[in-house]
Amino acid sequence: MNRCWGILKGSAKGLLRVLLIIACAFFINTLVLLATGKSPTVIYAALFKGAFGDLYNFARSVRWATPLIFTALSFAIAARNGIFNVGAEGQLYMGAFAAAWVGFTFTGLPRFVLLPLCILAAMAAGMLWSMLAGWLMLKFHSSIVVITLMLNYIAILFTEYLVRYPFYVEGTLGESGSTNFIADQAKLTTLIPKTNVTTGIIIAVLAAVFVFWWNSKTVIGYENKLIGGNELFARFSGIDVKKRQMLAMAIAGMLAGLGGAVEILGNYGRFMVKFASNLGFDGIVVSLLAGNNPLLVPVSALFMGSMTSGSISVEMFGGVPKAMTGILLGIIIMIITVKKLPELARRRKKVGSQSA
Amino acid sequence: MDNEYELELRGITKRFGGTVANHNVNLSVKKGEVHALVGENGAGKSTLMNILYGMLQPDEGEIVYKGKPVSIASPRDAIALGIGMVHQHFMLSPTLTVGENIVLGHPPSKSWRWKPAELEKQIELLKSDFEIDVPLNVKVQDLTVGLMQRVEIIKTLYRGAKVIILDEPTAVLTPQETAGLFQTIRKLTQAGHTVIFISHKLREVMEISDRITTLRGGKTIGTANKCDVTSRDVAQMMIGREITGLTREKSHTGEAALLVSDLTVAGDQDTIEVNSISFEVHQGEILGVAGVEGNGQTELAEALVGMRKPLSGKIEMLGKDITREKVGKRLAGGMAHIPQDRLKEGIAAELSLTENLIVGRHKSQPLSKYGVINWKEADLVSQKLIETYDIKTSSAREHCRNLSGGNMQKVIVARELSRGPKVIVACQPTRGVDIGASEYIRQMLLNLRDEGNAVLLISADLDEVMELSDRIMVMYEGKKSGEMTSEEANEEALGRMMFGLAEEKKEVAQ
Repeated sequence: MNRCWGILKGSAKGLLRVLLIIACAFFINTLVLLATGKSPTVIYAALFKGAFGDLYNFARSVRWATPLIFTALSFAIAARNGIFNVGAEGQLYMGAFAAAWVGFTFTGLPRFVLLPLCILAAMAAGMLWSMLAGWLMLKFHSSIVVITLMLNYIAILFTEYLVRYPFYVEGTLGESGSTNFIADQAKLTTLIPKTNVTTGIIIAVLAAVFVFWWNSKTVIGYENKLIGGNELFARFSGIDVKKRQMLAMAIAGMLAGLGGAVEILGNYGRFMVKFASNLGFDGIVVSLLAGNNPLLVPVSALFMGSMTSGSISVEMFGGVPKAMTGILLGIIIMIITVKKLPELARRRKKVGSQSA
Repeated sequence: MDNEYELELRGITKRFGGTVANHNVNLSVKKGEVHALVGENGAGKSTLMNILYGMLQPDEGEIVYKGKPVSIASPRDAIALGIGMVHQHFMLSPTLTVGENIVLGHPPSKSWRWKPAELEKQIELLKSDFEIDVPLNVKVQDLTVGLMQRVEIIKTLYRGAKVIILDEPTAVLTPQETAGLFQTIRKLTQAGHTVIFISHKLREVMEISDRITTLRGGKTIGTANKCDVTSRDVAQMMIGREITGLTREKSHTGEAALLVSDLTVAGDQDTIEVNSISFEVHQGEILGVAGVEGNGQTELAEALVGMRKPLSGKIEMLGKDITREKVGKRLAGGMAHIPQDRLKEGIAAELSLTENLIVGRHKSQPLSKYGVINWKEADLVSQKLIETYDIKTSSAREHCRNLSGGNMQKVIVARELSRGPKVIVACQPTRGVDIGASEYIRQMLLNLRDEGNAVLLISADLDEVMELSDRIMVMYEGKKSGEMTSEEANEEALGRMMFGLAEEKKEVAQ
């Protein structure tokens, strides 16, 4: 009971931190707008209306938040092991293609078989892709950042190849750059009519809760934290670090692949070349903004989603290019990195008093 | 009256945030004496010396040097006044030569030209005056620790120091090197220099110093002439209570619990660090491993725990061959390990005490079931360990990094020794730990031995090895250079073995 309370209190503190960072970013961005002679009130009103103005705008924010939850969780679970995995993008592509392939190939299967099959295929594809990165890291001691980054390009181009050659279908306007449509019974159910909000968001929130439980309650989650806290100590304590890191990569890949499946089964209905620009990288920002706390990931993902969603009306009604939200995100990333400053200051003081 | 003292620190107070590191501390040093400054870790010795050396500024109090109040704003000021300091961790640049290190920042002549001959002349003078011998053209990285220390001392003399602060100078030295250092110190005081000697090794303090000032909890407890006190008195002043001393009964040794045969282990650079070593540790026995650090002890311990694959040889624990077993299996099989570098290998500083204390038992009931951890139970377990091992903390949720060094070590000891181990590999178990906690940890090791467990004690602290061990094995350049029972052991013989001289002596005798 006590501990539950502690966790809630921790999350509340984290939420405050998220809100503070966002507020700081908006403040700095205001200065930028004022310097360029724009009216912040008009622009922010447009941004807010575009993101939360009515049900449809809100639904669009939720729709963009959904895949980010998966990629952010994917990043967070690897980060807990001390792995800086930037490969969610590639894993998402592999997962998305796998889901699409099952969806348009086994069209004869009933819904209760086909839908889970699509999801499982996506998770397996994402998992294999991330485990490849993990294997390369553990076997050859290569940099996980470089490997996952490069595997992203390979995944994006590989799926493009699959679309353009083995699974080529003629589009209505020449090359469509897409596969066939998936069977109707493989699609996720729409929650809010006439919008793109599907049961995907429920899966996303459940995934966040699962990752939270996994991290804080299971033996493996605890060992992961030990590894992230001090890898050498974990090894001295007899924890099989390689096995644990491989598992973390596998789960990270499954989550990213699941994100790809939700995109295909929920929104696009087929796999399109380069459909997901930067979902993987934005997921890293979402996770860092949430302090890698899975319970806060949906909140910070919703913020990111609303930025995407609101940026269109910023351009339409605010007279500012939608790149403004890019600036906002840039400022947020900078603040997150600066957030470490008070921690550093505390540490320095510690060292000073220890030498006493 | 004032002129009696060369240097006085009066009423020094220094606060770091809420903690008072020095509270109204007084220290008066006479010209030409060796003044020992003793106290446990955190007693405020280093703070006081850093104030004297200009690295910290006092909040209150004054420094009087040769009868005049002075303000020392930086080490440069201190050096200009004639106060030099030899730090515990040497301030030398390993890739430069000895000569270059000595003159760094203080060129031998006003000219911009580098004049090695002139430097050599100046240093030659110092060397002959104080009989300190160092080669000038060798890179510092190729020197032994003892020689590096001499370089540091020459450096302070070269800069014109009349008062020399030595911060725990013997911590890294072998007995022979310590004897050499003491000779140098005596030469210095004969020449009118003043030495402030910081240590918590009482035996050395009693040997070298003229007067002793004790600090405890940031306050001056008192200053005494050495001839008026016993080392027991000083210890009592340091820890504020009577030391009980260890109760060490005769050992009842049983079968060999740890059997190592022909073990050869490579180091990080693929050099042979442990060379075909064989020994056994019996049940109910403490085998001490003495030796100058870097003679293979680290690699030996890592091989025993399973962190380093041996090139050849065999390790048996409780009659079972464990040479190829992984760390986790060895620990589960009854081994416990106190690693030598606690921050790197022994704890995760950013995690809570509970999270650090339950490692190793977190996989079994009652702490976990079906792979899910019962944190309520975990908190109970760690709460109990915190009480039993007297770990000073505000709560079990506290981050480990907020603990003092001694309490961090207690966390490790509590975790490792409470699991009911049969074979304990303890590396430097009391390094940097204050007397009270050291005594406690040593007693724990003795208790485990009395309960019939085998303890391998690897320590650079010769006093500790001699106090605890039933048998002592000395390592030199990866080999066993000697072995004796604790009854036969004396410092001189051990020291010779630590230098690998035992064999030569035998040959000469023949």
